Amino acid sequence: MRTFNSQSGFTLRIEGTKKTTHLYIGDQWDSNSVWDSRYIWLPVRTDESKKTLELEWHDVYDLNVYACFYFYRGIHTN
Amino acid sequence: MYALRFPRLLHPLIEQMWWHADNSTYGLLLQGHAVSSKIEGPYTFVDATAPLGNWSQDFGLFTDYKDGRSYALYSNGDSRDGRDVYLTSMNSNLTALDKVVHRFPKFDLEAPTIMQTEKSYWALMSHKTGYRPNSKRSILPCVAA
Repeated sequence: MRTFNSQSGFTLRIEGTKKTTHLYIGDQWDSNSVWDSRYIWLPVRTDESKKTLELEWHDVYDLNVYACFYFYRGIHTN
Repeated sequence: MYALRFPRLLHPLIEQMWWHADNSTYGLLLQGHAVSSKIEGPYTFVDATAPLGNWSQDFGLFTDYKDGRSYALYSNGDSRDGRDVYLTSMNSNLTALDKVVHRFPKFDLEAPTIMQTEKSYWALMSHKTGYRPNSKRSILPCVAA
């Protein structure tokens, strides 16, 4: 499973009015300056029947925390 | 003075903060606990303890959204007697660990977290390469009974 140079830290479950989204929150450690390490937040996609879990990379995305749709490159997910 | 890593916050009535408490060489492997009456603090340090007598590294926390129960997730370090990952239930007011409900024996993984979907629990953990990234990540899906 690709985590884009990050280490699993937490997942956030956001129950919206339209859908539920899971966000992966990983630590991007910087060994040269640990105090300046960063987080990476990405939507998680799961397939219950195949038992697969993937992180979706988006350079930029926007989450509607009420309805819980997220947007990237103008595409509206559902 | 303890190093503080992986802080987690729970709020039943009094805010409960838990974290991986350690010294600079990661030799203590304890869990820290602090409380506050308000989310913004100030927090009062309670103690730093060895969970059920074990070591604890990379403290994680999981709350089951269906029944509200919370669980501590931690590995017991890199030593030969360690290298397990524990899932331990917490008491109802989240002030102490209760009992080990699952052990991932000799998995030798760190930074454990659990994601819950409607039908399944997904344990995500990391292989150990210090602060350097690696090409391996583990997912352990488990369908709820």
